[in-house]
Amino acid sequence: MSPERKSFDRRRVFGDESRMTELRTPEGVGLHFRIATMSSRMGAFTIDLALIVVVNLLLLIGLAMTLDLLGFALFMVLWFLSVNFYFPFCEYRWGATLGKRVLGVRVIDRRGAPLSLEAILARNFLRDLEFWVPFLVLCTGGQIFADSPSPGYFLLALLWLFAMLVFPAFSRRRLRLGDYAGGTMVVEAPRPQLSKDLAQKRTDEEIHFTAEQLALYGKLELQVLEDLLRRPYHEVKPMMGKVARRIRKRIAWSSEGRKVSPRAFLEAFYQAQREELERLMVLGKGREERERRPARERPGTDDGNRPADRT
Amino acid sequence: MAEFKLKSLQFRREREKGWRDFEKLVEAAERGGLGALTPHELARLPTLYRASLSALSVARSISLDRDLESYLEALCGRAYLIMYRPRRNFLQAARHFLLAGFPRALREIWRALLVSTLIFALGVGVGYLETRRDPERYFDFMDRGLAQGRGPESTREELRKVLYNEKEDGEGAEDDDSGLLLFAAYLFRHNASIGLAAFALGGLAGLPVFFLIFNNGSTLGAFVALHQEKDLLFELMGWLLPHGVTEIFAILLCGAAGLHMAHAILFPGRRRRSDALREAGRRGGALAMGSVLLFVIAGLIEGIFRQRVQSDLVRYLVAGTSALFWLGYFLLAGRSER
Repeated sequence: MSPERKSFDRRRVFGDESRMTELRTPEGVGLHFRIATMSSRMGAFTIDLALIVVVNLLLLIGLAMTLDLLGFALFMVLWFLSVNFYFPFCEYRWGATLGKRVLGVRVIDRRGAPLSLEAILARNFLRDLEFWVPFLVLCTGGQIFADSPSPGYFLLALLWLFAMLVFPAFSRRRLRLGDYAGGTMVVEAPRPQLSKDLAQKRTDEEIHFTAEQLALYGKLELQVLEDLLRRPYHEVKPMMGKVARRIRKRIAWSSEGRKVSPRAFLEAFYQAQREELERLMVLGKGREERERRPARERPGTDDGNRPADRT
Repeated sequence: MAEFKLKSLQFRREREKGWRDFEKLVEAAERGGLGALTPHELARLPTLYRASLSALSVARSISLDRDLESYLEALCGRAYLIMYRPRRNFLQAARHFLLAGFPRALREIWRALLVSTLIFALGVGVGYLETRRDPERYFDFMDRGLAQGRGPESTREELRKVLYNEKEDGEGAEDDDSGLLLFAAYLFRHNASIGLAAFALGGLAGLPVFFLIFNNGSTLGAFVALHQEKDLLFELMGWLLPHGVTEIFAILLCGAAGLHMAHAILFPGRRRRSDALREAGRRGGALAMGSVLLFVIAGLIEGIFRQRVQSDLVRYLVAGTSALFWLGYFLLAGRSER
């Protein structure tokens, strides 16, 4: 919205918008999903990997005690299936493996189509190349073609694993090789949360603002204020005092001798300002953000913003 | 008083109950699938979904309440993933895959299959000729572990014994059903892992795939040469082909899938590289999945049938039948709509 505002960190309030991705539904509405972080994906994979390894080890121990050949044959097949089909099965069925569920991420089609079995298979079969082959080489100490362990291959496998690990960092949507092949991506599973509307709250004091007083701030400031008001009170109490003072000064509002707490003031101001802005919006005169005054202002007065250096 | 002036508040008040209901339905569907909903709930779902989507559009244009907007965004996102989840369950998808998806994918990449077959044939040729020229080169092509003690120094009788599963004294006592199953499971795991690796290595622009297929071919060629030397060609083919038809085909298929993907990476043509890779990757994934199934079948034939049946006639019959079956399946299955 406002690329020229340098010192104001939008991310603190609005989240990192470069981490969002948009899908367009067939109904024509764009939906935004938050791209999963690499750390949560690594965490998810670690959980899944641990699960596979532990289950297989338990199976192996159980079977080793019975010493039954049939059981051992079963183990071979289950081993193969769990390594190669645990991921596709879970992802096709629920959109996420257990590890992904725990960390609240899921797989979606990059174009918003339903996940197809082919996409899921492609995405997960490539894991062979990305993880299992180098991993097994590491586990055997570099044994791959030769009959004896070789440090050269060990090093190569290590490098390879590392390369595959950082590979997603080079695309904005954090795609690993399998995501490219499957046309998929991993996003945070959306969790709807609705709190009370701040405008719903009635304040005890009757606090009034004039039209001129409400003509200064825009949508951006309103939403920053919303963010402040929604945070746990004890965390932002000192901040509220500062913000309230600043706004009162800027809009030249006086309490007329009454005692008005910063919080009450801000809530009332939020309501009044939102009312005014929504009215303007309906009239097609919405205001995105406060108008900047020419640079005669003292630097660092309002929200720590310097006047814009326009290009 | 403020409540009546604020359009966004009024808007929210009127619709919030619908959103909350919808949220519950979506949650239920997420847990137990759409089947967990009653018919009545199911009938409401699309209406509520569209209502929420339009509410999101409205909220974006009239509301300044960021909390509300992100709520609707998340609600719609979550619902979207439920509404447009895969339409088939896993079993239905598998069935569709077997009856149509797999053979179709194969017909679509026949060029890659041709290339991988040629590489394989080249491997066979090299392995065969080199071993015929100098039997000692056999172990250049054959891994000693896989050779099971068979080599140029083996006598005809020793080789024949392996082909017909005749054990020396003291050996083979464990040759019961579970032993055979274990053998079959081992073969399956070993071969299918190689197959999947062949597909995945396509992601490295294909060179390793060439190597892998060529290697497999030369092993076979050397093996054939070894037996021909000892005048056992006919017997060997009876031993090899019943499962070999399926297994070699599966290897070629995995290789083809890998090459198909490599081709998309190197030469995307007019498409974007990521689009080309996605298309090829999905097709290749399907083929790799299909070849895992072929490996299962090959493993069973190799591990059980071959160890049990010594008659050349039956062996050749099985080989011929399976060849015909695959040919028919891949040429004909899934041609009609849906």
